[in-house]
Amino acid sequence: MKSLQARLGRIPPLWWQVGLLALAVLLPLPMSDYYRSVLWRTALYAILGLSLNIIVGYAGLFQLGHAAFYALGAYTSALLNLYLDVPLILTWPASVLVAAFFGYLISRPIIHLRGDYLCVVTIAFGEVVRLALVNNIFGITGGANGLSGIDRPVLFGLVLRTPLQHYYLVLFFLVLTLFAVRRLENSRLGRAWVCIREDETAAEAMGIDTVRAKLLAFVVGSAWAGLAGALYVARVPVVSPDLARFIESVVMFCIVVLGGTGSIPGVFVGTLGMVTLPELLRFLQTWRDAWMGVAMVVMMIARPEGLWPSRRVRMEIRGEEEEEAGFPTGVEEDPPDPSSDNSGEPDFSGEVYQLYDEETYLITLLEEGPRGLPSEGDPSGKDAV
Amino acid sequence: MALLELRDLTKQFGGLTAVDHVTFDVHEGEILGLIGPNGAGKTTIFNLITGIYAPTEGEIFFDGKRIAHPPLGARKFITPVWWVQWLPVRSVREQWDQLRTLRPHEITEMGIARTFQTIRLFKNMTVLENVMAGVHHRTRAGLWGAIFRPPFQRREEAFIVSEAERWIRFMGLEAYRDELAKNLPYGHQRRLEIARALAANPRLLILDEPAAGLNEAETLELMDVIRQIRNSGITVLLIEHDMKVVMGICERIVVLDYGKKIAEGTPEEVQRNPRVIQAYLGEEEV
Repeated sequence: MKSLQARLGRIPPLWWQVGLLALAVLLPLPMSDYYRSVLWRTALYAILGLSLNIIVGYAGLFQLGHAAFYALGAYTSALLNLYLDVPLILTWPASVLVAAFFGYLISRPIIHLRGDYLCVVTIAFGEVVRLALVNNIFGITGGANGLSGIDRPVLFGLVLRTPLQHYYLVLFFLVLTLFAVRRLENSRLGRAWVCIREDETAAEAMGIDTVRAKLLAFVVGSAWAGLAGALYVARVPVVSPDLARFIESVVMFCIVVLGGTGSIPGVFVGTLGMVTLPELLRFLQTWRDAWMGVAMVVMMIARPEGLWPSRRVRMEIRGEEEEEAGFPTGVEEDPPDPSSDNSGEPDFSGEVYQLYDEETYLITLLEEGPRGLPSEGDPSGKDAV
Repeated sequence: MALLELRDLTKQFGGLTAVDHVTFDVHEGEILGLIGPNGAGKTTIFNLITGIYAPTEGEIFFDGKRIAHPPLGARKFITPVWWVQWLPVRSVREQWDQLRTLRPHEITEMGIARTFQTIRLFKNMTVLENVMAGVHHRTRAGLWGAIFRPPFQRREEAFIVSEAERWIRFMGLEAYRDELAKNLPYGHQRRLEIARALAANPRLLILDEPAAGLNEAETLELMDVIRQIRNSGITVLLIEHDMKVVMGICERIVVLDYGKKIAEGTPEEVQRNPRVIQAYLGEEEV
């Protein structure tokens, strides 16, 4: 059976884009305001997901404090409007810049950390931001109650009030984000990010400034989360430290992972699963979260690469297992390449060569003294003279 | 003047001296072999040259410029003042450049490209994309270039692809252009790694056991390729265990044992050197 993903792939991309855009524009028209608000929320989280996808999906940096930048953007917008009477629209660039600045500030000293260590620092940063806001930092953030009384945005003389107007506003920025992200994906910078995710040492040896590229990913992703925060304030003229709650960061992270890390359609699938669905299932009340948890556990076991994974990430996670065990991913597979069949020759790609790794060798050397390595019966025959 | 000069290079890991006061030169346009028993410190030397490790003692000069030196025990000391590199005072910047050690990508930019002992391709990228990564440091488009795609970015992309294709053709991998790197047979993966390194436009190519795991025919092809690379003006420094390769293509050989240089010379000289025979070739017939 061919999967949906494979079947959808046949339709030319232009029709796809036009069709989806038309759907996104027309969908809320027959709906009630409640469902329009749900759509607004979905689009907003899609922007957040896409911005986090740059950090987590492309550059492979674990960022579990994304909501902090969302909150920073929201508070920047609110504070500028409340204290300096800046029209809301003009605060948006400031939100982007402030989030970018903090993104740089926080990531610069920790960018060389890998995986879990980076993750812990970003969690800590998220909490720092939330606590700073709760504790009414500089006496301007309104403490745990947050800020209220923020103006409505005015666009060409039109005051944006209704959920529908706000939905279109967010949709506009979503399309903009999509455009930018898709171009980033197929660019020199995007390729550099993938190289870093695949093998950082090799990327560095090929002349890619890994620190710079990773910083860029972090800063761009954070900046865009700041914009999402500003858009939130435009619709909900009340901000509170709840925006920076850890669970918000987790939801954003799950959006990226659930749909498929590094995959743009995956972000939308993830948003539907993590934001829209729970909202629509409100009638289940407390059972809702429990089922969400169960569903996620099941999914991570059955389909760890996500619901709509990017081709590359699927391979990274499934690896050879997919080819050998014929794991039913449902996606049409290319016919096996006859030239990749080197069954007649010994396989040197795995552990054998790891033995000669510098560090492994040194460990062996320290434990067993010099020449601790197996040179007799060396399967590679490298010492044959 | 030698293209690459190693001066009293020493690297210690804790109490273990992996490389011990090694001094040798790589001359422009030659193929130099670096041999020695397992654990003699060959790969450590490569990692020192390419900036993955910083030496404990000694220096490395590439084309007259110092590319590696001991980090003056100074990371803790200089990190808080990293911003001085941006001061508009030339002498300060020069001082900074003296203090800090070069990072691997900067060394690649200067013209040293390498391959790895354990093949390190970008496995889930295509052959073309892998080689395109080598062109990265010769191009400039960044974030804005990627999003707005001005004419210079389009020209650059075209350049990246054409340059990558040139090296794919050079290594005879045209048929696999859009194949994923991990699906290539082992021998072709080795070739792809060399193609990727060549795309970085190096003056010095460093090959870490390029013939490891190759069969007879592939090894002969590889020797041919290495000669071609040298003839196109690129200096080659290689580690190799396969004596047929080493004796066949290297003009000079440096022999290491326990981190120390024990011999240097033409293949014939090295083969006759009693210390080499004792340390390395003695156990088996040559």
